[in-house]
Amino acid sequence: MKGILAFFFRIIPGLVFLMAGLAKISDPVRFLMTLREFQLFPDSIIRFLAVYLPWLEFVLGFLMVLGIMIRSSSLLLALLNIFFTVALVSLLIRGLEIDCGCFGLFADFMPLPDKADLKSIIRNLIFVGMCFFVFNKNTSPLSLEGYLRKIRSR
Amino acid sequence: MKRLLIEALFILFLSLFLALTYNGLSSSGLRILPRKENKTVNSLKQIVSPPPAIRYQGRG
Repeated sequence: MKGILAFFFRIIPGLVFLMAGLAKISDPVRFLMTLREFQLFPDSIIRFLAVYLPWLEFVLGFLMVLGIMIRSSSLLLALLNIFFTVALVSLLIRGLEIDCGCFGLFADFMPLPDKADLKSIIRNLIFVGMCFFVFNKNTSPLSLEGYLRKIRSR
Repeated sequence: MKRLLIEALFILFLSLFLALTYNGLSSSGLRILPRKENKTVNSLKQIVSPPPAIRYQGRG
């Protein structure tokens, strides 16, 4: 049962972040504008984050879906989600009503949640829980890492 | 623990490499992004600079 849970908790955040990363990579300027609206960092750091974060999301999502370096990628994904959650909480505290920019371009033609509100914070916290579950469970079924381990042990 | 740290660093640097490669490595890949406009300077420029001269276009 825990194995099935670990599989789904690996695949769901993985796919979500793979998609979110792709959406932001295809339109970094839009993500830059969103980050500026957050008013959290100076412009030089925002420009770096606008280029770097989408790729980090994409790589982490890719590794989670394939099941390579599961522990480290789930830990990094959890930390990234905590970072996003802190940013969203600061928005709510300051009373700024903007888009969270989570799904970038895809939010235009898909019914995806893109508002920075309590729902997005809860969603992020669920992802954090999922990632820590995968991190604590050392292996996950249907992963490339598990498959390679099996071959080596033969 | 050591392996975890090495893997995490690998992922972070791989993402950095991909980000900079995709956006162009020349001096800074961040150049593709627009800089924040300095609204005060721009508005001052508009005030100080005179409007473009309207040339008299005579007949013929």
